[in-house]
Amino acid sequence: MFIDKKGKLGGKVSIIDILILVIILAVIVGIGVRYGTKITGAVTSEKEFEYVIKIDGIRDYTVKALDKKGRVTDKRSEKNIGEILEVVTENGTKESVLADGTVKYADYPGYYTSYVKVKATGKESDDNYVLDDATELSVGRTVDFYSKYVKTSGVIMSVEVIK
Amino acid sequence: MKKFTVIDILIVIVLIAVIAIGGYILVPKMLNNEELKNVECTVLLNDTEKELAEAMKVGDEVTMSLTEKDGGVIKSIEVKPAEKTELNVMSGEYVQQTLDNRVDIYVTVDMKASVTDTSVKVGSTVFKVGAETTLRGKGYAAMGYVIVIND
Repeated sequence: MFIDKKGKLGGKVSIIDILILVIILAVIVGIGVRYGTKITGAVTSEKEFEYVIKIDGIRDYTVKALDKKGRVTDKRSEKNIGEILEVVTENGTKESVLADGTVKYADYPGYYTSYVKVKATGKESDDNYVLDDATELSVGRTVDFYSKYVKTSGVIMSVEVIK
Repeated sequence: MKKFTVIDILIVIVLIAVIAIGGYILVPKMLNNEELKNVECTVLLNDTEKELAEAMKVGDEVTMSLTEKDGGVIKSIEVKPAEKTELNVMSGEYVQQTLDNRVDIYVTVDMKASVTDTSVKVGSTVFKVGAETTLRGKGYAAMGYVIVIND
Protein backbone atom coordinates (compact mmCIF):
# COMPACT_ATOMS: atom_id res chain seq x y z
CA MET A 1 0.00 0.00 0.00
CA PHE A 2 1.24 3.53 -0.83
CA ILE A 3 0.36 4.84 2.66
CA ASP A 4 0.73 2.25 5.41
CA LYS A 5 -1.43 1.86 8.54
CA LYS A 6 0.83 4.26 10.48
CA GLY A 7 0.23 7.05 7.97
CA LYS A 8 3.69 6.83 6.41
CA LEU A 9 4.40 7.04 2.72
CA GLY A 10 6.15 3.88 1.60
CA GLY A 11 6.40 2.99 5.27
CA LYS A 12 9.11 5.63 5.82
CA VAL A 13 7.96 9.31 5.70
CA SER A 14 5.02 10.50 7.80
CA ILE A 15 2.25 12.18 5.78
CA ILE A 16 1.80 14.69 8.62
CA ASP A 17 5.45 15.77 8.37
CA ILE A 18 5.01 16.29 4.63
CA LEU A 19 1.88 18.39 5.20
CA ILE A 20 3.73 20.56 7.74
CA LEU A 21 6.57 21.03 5.27
CA VAL A 22 4.13 22.06 2.54
CA ILE A 23 2.47 24.62 4.86
CA ILE A 24 5.85 26.09 5.89
CA LEU A 25 6.89 26.41 2.25
CA ALA A 26 3.54 28.03 1.38
CA VAL A 27 4.00 30.60 4.18
CA ILE A 28 7.52 31.44 3.00
CA VAL A 29 6.36 31.83 -0.61
CA GLY A 30 3.36 33.89 0.51
CA ILE A 31 5.58 36.25 2.53
CA GLY A 32 7.91 36.60 -0.44
CA VAL A 33 5.06 37.44 -2.80
CA ARG A 34 3.35 39.78 -0.33
CA TYR A 35 6.37 41.80 0.71
CA GLY A 36 8.46 41.43 -2.40
CA THR A 37 8.81 44.24 -4.94
CA LYS A 38 5.66 45.23 -6.79
CA ILE A 39 7.58 46.10 -9.95
CA THR A 40 6.37 43.71 -12.62
CA GLY A 41 9.06 44.45 -15.15
CA ALA A 42 12.74 43.92 -14.61
CA VAL A 43 14.24 46.66 -12.40
CA THR A 44 16.88 48.45 -14.37
CA SER A 45 18.35 50.98 -11.94
CA GLU A 46 18.06 53.16 -8.87
CA LYS A 47 16.88 56.62 -9.85
CA GLU A 48 16.27 60.07 -8.47
CA PHE A 49 13.09 61.83 -9.62
CA GLU A 50 11.55 65.26 -9.44
CA TYR A 51 7.78 65.25 -9.67
CA VAL A 52 5.03 67.80 -9.20
CA ILE A 53 1.83 66.90 -7.42
CA LYS A 54 -1.29 69.09 -7.60
CA ILE A 55 -3.24 69.18 -4.36
CA ASP A 56 -6.72 70.66 -4.77
CA GLY A 57 -9.29 71.99 -2.38
CA ILE A 58 -7.12 72.40 0.69
CA ARG A 59 -7.55 74.85 3.55
CA ASP A 60 -4.96 77.38 4.60
CA TYR A 61 -3.88 75.08 7.47
CA THR A 62 -2.68 72.49 5.00
CA VAL A 63 -1.00 75.15 2.85
CA LYS A 64 0.96 76.40 5.87
CA ALA A 65 1.96 72.85 6.76
CA LEU A 66 3.13 72.23 3.17
CA ASP A 67 5.09 75.50 3.26
CA LYS A 68 7.12 74.03 6.14
CA LYS A 69 8.44 71.61 3.48
CA GLY A 70 10.56 68.81 5.02
CA ARG A 71 10.75 65.12 4.26
CA VAL A 72 8.30 63.10 2.19
CA THR A 73 7.54 59.78 3.82
CA ASP A 74 5.78 56.49 3.28
CA LYS A 75 2.29 55.83 4.66
CA ARG A 76 3.63 54.78 8.08
CA SER A 77 5.98 57.78 8.36
CA GLU A 78 8.87 55.39 8.84
CA LYS A 79 10.68 55.65 5.52
CA ASN A 80 12.23 58.86 4.18
CA ILE A 81 11.57 58.75 0.44
CA GLY A 82 12.23 62.34 -0.57
CA GLU A 83 11.89 65.98 0.24
CA ILE A 84 9.65 68.90 -0.71
CA LEU A 85 11.58 71.38 -2.85
CA GLU A 86 8.99 74.01 -3.66
CA VAL A 87 5.34 74.83 -2.99
CA VAL A 88 3.35 77.18 -5.24
CA THR A 89 -0.18 78.00 -4.09
CA GLU A 90 -3.06 79.75 -5.81
CA ASN A 91 -6.69 80.44 -4.89
CA GLY A 92 -8.88 77.43 -5.31
CA THR A 93 -11.57 77.07 -7.96
CA LYS A 94 -14.38 74.57 -8.24
CA GLU A 95 -16.67 73.49 -11.00
CA SER A 96 -20.20 74.73 -10.56
CA VAL A 97 -23.34 74.02 -12.56
CA LEU A 98 -25.78 76.89 -12.79
CA ALA A 99 -29.57 76.57 -12.77
CA ASP A 100 -29.58 76.94 -16.56
CA GLY A 101 -27.08 74.10 -16.95
CA THR A 102 -24.06 76.30 -17.66
CA VAL A 103 -20.80 74.91 -16.27
CA LYS A 104 -18.52 77.48 -14.69
CA TYR A 105 -15.27 77.37 -12.74
CA ALA A 106 -15.80 79.74 -9.86
CA ASP A 107 -13.51 80.90 -7.09
CA TYR A 108 -13.79 78.61 -4.05
CA PRO A 109 -13.27 80.95 -1.09
CA GLY A 110 -11.23 79.59 1.80
CA TYR A 111 -9.77 76.79 -0.32
CA TYR A 112 -6.54 76.62 -2.25
CA THR A 113 -4.65 74.62 -4.84
CA SER A 114 -0.97 73.87 -4.21
CA TYR A 115 1.58 72.58 -6.68
CA VAL A 116 4.26 70.74 -4.71
CA LYS A 117 7.58 69.88 -6.31
CA VAL A 118 9.22 66.84 -4.72
CA LYS A 119 12.65 65.26 -5.08
CA ALA A 120 12.40 61.53 -4.40
CA THR A 121 14.29 58.27 -4.85
CA GLY A 122 13.00 55.14 -6.45
CA LYS A 123 13.50 52.64 -9.21
CA GLU A 124 13.02 52.55 -12.94
CA SER A 125 11.78 49.43 -14.67
CA ASP A 126 10.89 48.64 -18.26
CA ASP A 127 7.27 49.61 -17.57
CA ASN A 128 7.28 52.39 -15.03
CA TYR A 129 8.87 54.52 -12.36
CA VAL A 130 8.32 53.50 -8.74
CA LEU A 131 9.15 55.31 -5.51
CA ASP A 132 10.90 53.59 -2.60
CA ASP A 133 7.53 53.01 -0.92
CA ALA A 134 6.26 51.20 -4.04
CA THR A 135 4.07 54.13 -5.21
CA GLU A 136 3.89 54.14 -8.99
CA LEU A 137 4.97 57.51 -10.34
CA SER A 138 2.71 58.21 -13.32
CA VAL A 139 1.36 61.52 -14.61
CA GLY A 140 -2.39 61.59 -14.05
CA ARG A 141 -2.32 59.19 -11.14
CA THR A 142 -3.96 60.22 -7.85
CA VAL A 143 -1.71 59.31 -4.96
CA ASP A 144 -1.67 59.72 -1.21
CA PHE A 145 0.96 62.22 -0.08
CA TYR A 146 2.67 62.13 3.31
CA SER A 147 5.28 64.55 4.59
CA LYS A 148 6.56 65.10 8.13
CA TYR A 149 3.67 67.50 8.78
CA VAL A 150 0.97 66.69 6.20
CA LYS A 151 -1.34 63.90 5.09
CA THR A 152 -3.25 64.62 1.89
CA SER A 153 -3.65 63.40 -1.68
CA GLY A 154 -3.21 64.84 -5.13
CA VAL A 155 -2.67 64.24 -8.82
CA ILE A 156 0.80 63.81 -10.29
CA MET A 157 1.27 66.50 -12.95
CA SER A 158 4.83 65.85 -14.13
CA VAL A 159 7.68 63.39 -13.60
CA GLU A 160 11.31 63.99 -14.47
CA VAL A 161 14.21 61.59 -14.05
CA ILE A 162 17.13 63.56 -12.58
CA LYS A 163 19.83 60.88 -12.34
CA MET B 1 15.28 8.15 22.51
CA LYS B 2 13.35 9.35 19.44
CA LYS B 3 15.59 10.48 16.62
CA PHE B 4 15.16 13.93 15.12
CA THR B 5 13.85 13.91 11.55
CA VAL B 6 14.63 16.45 8.85
CA ILE B 7 11.14 17.91 9.33
CA ASP B 8 11.78 18.48 13.06
CA ILE B 9 15.02 20.31 12.23
CA LEU B 10 13.22 22.50 9.65
CA ILE B 11 10.54 23.42 12.17
CA VAL B 12 13.20 24.40 14.71
CA ILE B 13 14.99 26.54 12.09
CA VAL B 14 11.75 28.34 11.22
CA LEU B 15 10.97 28.97 14.90
CA ILE B 16 14.46 30.38 15.51
CA ALA B 17 14.10 32.61 12.43
CA VAL B 18 10.73 33.93 13.66
CA ILE B 19 12.15 34.70 17.13
CA ALA B 20 15.23 36.39 15.61
CA ILE B 21 13.18 38.55 13.22
CA GLY B 22 10.72 39.43 15.97
CA GLY B 23 13.53 40.42 18.30
CA TYR B 24 15.21 42.48 15.58
CA ILE B 25 12.00 44.45 15.04
CA LEU B 26 10.69 44.71 18.61
CA VAL B 27 13.77 45.08 20.85
CA PRO B 28 14.92 48.46 19.43
CA LYS B 29 11.38 49.80 19.96
CA MET B 30 11.34 48.56 23.56
CA LEU B 31 14.77 50.05 24.31
CA ASN B 32 13.96 53.31 22.56
CA ASN B 33 14.34 56.12 25.08
CA GLU B 34 14.64 59.07 22.72
CA GLU B 35 13.98 62.47 24.19
CA LEU B 36 10.42 63.78 23.94
CA LYS B 37 9.60 67.33 22.89
CA ASN B 38 6.73 69.61 23.87
CA VAL B 39 4.49 69.89 20.81
CA GLU B 40 1.25 71.79 20.29
CA CYS B 41 -1.44 70.25 18.15
CA THR B 42 -4.68 71.98 17.18
CA VAL B 43 -7.70 69.92 16.24
CA LEU B 44 -10.72 71.36 14.43
CA LEU B 45 -14.11 69.87 15.33
CA ASN B 46 -16.21 71.46 12.65
CA ASP B 47 -19.96 71.89 12.25
CA THR B 48 -20.82 70.55 15.69
CA GLU B 49 -22.96 71.36 18.73
CA LYS B 50 -21.89 74.07 21.18
CA GLU B 51 -22.64 71.65 24.04
CA LEU B 52 -19.52 69.73 23.03
CA ALA B 53 -17.36 72.78 23.69
CA GLU B 54 -19.12 73.31 27.03
CA ALA B 55 -18.23 69.75 28.07
CA MET B 56 -14.49 70.38 27.56
CA LYS B 57 -12.20 72.28 29.93
CA VAL B 58 -8.67 73.59 29.71
CA GLY B 59 -6.47 71.14 31.61
CA ASP B 60 -8.46 68.04 30.61
CA GLU B 61 -6.38 65.02 29.69
CA VAL B 62 -7.51 63.79 26.28
CA THR B 63 -6.84 60.67 24.26
CA MET B 64 -6.25 61.12 20.55
CA SER B 65 -6.12 57.53 19.41
CA LEU B 66 -8.81 54.89 18.96
CA THR B 67 -6.63 52.05 20.16
CA GLU B 68 -3.97 53.57 22.43
CA LYS B 69 -3.83 56.00 25.33
CA ASP B 70 -1.77 58.50 23.30
CA GLY B 71 -2.80 62.13 23.71
CA GLY B 72 -2.12 65.22 25.78
CA VAL B 73 -3.61 68.02 27.84
CA ILE B 74 -6.01 70.66 26.52
CA LYS B 75 -4.27 74.04 26.44
CA SER B 76 -7.02 76.15 24.86
CA ILE B 77 -10.52 75.91 23.43
CA GLU B 78 -11.83 78.42 20.88
CA VAL B 79 -15.38 78.39 19.60
CA LYS B 80 -16.48 80.14 16.41
CA PRO B 81 -19.71 80.05 14.41
CA ALA B 82 -19.59 77.18 11.93
CA GLU B 83 -19.02 78.19 8.32
CA LYS B 84 -19.74 76.35 5.14
CA THR B 85 -19.00 77.12 1.51
CA GLU B 86 -21.94 76.46 -0.77
CA LEU B 87 -22.86 77.15 -4.35
CA ASN B 88 -25.31 79.90 -5.34
CA VAL B 89 -26.89 78.14 -8.32
CA MET B 90 -28.21 81.39 -9.73
CA SER B 91 -24.93 83.27 -9.90
CA GLY B 92 -22.57 80.29 -10.05
CA GLU B 93 -20.52 81.78 -7.21
CA TYR B 94 -19.42 79.93 -4.12
CA VAL B 95 -20.25 81.82 -0.96
CA GLN B 96 -19.20 81.28 2.63
CA GLN B 97 -22.04 81.38 5.06
CA THR B 98 -22.50 80.95 8.75
CA LEU B 99 -24.62 78.06 10.00
CA ASP B 100 -27.20 78.81 12.67
CA ASN B 101 -26.79 76.94 15.96
CA ARG B 102 -23.64 75.13 14.82
CA VAL B 103 -20.05 75.83 15.85
CA ASP B 104 -16.48 75.09 14.85
CA ILE B 105 -14.35 74.21 17.89
CA TYR B 106 -10.58 74.68 17.79
CA VAL B 107 -8.91 72.62 20.53
CA THR B 108 -5.18 73.06 21.15
CA VAL B 109 -3.51 70.19 22.96
CA ASP B 110 -0.07 70.11 24.59
CA MET B 111 1.66 66.80 23.94
CA LYS B 112 4.99 65.12 24.67
CA ALA B 113 6.04 63.85 21.27
CA SER B 114 8.89 62.13 19.54
CA VAL B 115 9.92 64.40 16.64
CA THR B 116 12.02 62.99 13.79
CA ASP B 117 12.68 63.95 10.16
CA THR B 118 9.65 61.97 9.07
CA SER B 119 7.04 62.31 11.78
CA VAL B 120 5.66 63.81 14.95
CA LYS B 121 4.54 60.90 17.09
CA VAL B 122 3.00 60.50 20.53
CA GLY B 123 3.49 56.92 21.63
CA SER B 124 2.62 54.97 18.50
CA THR B 125 0.21 57.59 17.10
CA VAL B 126 1.45 59.79 14.25
CA PHE B 127 0.03 63.30 13.91
CA LYS B 128 -0.18 65.12 10.59
CA VAL B 129 -2.13 68.15 9.38
CA GLY B 130 -5.09 66.92 7.37
CA ALA B 131 -5.35 63.62 9.22
CA GLU B 132 -8.55 62.72 11.00
CA THR B 133 -8.20 62.17 14.73
CA THR B 134 -10.33 61.31 17.71
CA LEU B 135 -10.52 63.57 20.75
CA ARG B 136 -11.78 61.80 23.85
CA GLY B 137 -11.97 63.15 27.36
CA LYS B 138 -13.94 62.33 30.45
CA GLY B 139 -17.58 62.58 29.36
CA TYR B 140 -17.07 63.57 25.73
CA ALA B 141 -15.77 62.22 22.45
CA ALA B 142 -15.54 63.67 18.96
CA MET B 143 -13.80 63.25 15.62
CA GLY B 144 -11.94 66.12 14.03
CA TYR B 145 -9.00 67.03 11.85
CA VAL B 146 -5.50 68.08 12.85
CA ILE B 147 -4.97 71.58 11.46
CA VAL B 148 -1.81 72.80 13.19
CA ILE B 149 1.32 71.12 14.53
CA ASN B 150 3.92 73.31 16.23
CA ASP B 151 7.03 71.34 17.11
